[in-house]
Amino acid sequence: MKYWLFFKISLQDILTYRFDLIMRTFRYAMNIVLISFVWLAIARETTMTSINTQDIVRYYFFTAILYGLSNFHTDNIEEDIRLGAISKYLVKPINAFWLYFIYQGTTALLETVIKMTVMVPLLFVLGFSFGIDLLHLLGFSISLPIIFFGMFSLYFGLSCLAFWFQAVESIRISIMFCFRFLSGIFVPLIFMPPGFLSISRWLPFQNLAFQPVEFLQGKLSTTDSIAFFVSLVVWTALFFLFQNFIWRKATHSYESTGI
Amino acid sequence: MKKYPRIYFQILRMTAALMMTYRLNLLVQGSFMIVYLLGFLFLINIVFSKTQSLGGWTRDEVILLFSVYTLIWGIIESFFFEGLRQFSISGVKNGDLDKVLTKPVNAQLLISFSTPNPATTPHEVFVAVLFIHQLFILHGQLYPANVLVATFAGFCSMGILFFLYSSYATLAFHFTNSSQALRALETISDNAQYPTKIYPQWLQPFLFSLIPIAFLGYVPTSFLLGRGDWKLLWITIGVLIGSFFINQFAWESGLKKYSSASS
Repeated sequence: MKYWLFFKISLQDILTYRFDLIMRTFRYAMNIVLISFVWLAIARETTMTSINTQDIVRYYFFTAILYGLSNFHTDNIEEDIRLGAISKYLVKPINAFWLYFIYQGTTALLETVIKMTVMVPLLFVLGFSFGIDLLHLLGFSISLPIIFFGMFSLYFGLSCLAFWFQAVESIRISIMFCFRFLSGIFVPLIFMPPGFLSISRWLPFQNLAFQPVEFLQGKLSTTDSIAFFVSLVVWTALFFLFQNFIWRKATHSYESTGI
Repeated sequence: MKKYPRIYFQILRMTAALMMTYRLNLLVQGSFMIVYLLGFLFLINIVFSKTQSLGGWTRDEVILLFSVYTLIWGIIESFFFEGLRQFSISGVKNGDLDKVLTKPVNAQLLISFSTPNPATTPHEVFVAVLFIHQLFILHGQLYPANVLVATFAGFCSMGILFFLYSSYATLAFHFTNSSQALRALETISDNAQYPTKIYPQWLQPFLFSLIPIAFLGYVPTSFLLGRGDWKLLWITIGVLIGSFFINQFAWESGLKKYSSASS
């Protein structure tokens, strides 16, 4: 119940600064729209027949919806640790992880909803069809909170390194960039070298953008779909265990004065 | 006027000393930026594995465009972007502007140039090497007159970017949280590494004005390669003058609206 209250407070807090929310949504959406235009230009100029314009544009519009679920900043957690504000959660019957999760999750939820309401009509306006069925849309929708939960766990764990180091932002952002680049958000992974594709099947990157979008477009076989969901859940669980381990280690011998 | 370089040098010295306090962070940041650049070069290679040209530009020309864009962005980030970003986050909301307004210096200049970022130096060196390498490859297309015009266009572009980014930062006077406006420009600027001509006709006027990614690389590189014409030069000068007046108006109206938040 208390976490439901946190959700409502977070929602009110985010909606107070509507301009910032709109700009944040614009930022991600515009970036992906520009990238899709790059690939449209390639499709116009290439002699390769394997590049399908419809598929590329749809791919980028769907990744635009997914973008905010793996690309967000947890610098507020690092600041709370550095300045000691985290202490107040340690002496109250509140779990800091869930508190930050709800705040960040509310932002991601709002962003995703706004992006869906903007991007889907925009796709139609530009003359492209949606081309998905209800079953795949349902599966895709289920994968969204799992993706966010896994990535939040990872970033929370990395932010908790601030218990030991003064500045950990660069470590977190470096890892975020690796995920951004290797997940297929910038380049559909079908354009990557075949060796990379076979290796990355076992890594968490594909689960963030490439696999969900392929699943949504009905391009994955039943076996591949199951493998995608199993991989997503396993990696999410590992990231959750990682943050749990770091948090326990950090708070085991934590000292704070003056609060 | 002499005091401004002296003040800037002092700020730079203090910032460098502060950064050296967190050496691990500095090391990771420096390495990450180079990896980031390599990632983008990899991306360009993937693009050109599918096509021979992009918007009529060859692979080597696009890499030159990428190096120019990265150099200009690096200069922006080293000198004024961080200052404007900090201002948009806390300058008005937390009343940090009070401390600036009471000093006998130009407030806008002090805000913009008060947070230099020397951490970009290693990647600037890396990009400068890449830029020179590309110049050697494309030396057949380079003429002294074009280099002169490109240098002029480069300075105009940096002026435009300063005035426009600075104008966006003044949104902090009107909205409590407006930092995402500058972050949006930063994220979108990643697309400046491709020739602006590949984007749809209806979008291009925006890329030469409101979202000025064309000036980050495309305009100077076009002149360098002899692809620029008089029309593009007049557009650049026109946008520079226009952005200057927009900037003046934005700061004046913002400061009129401002009331002290502290004490």
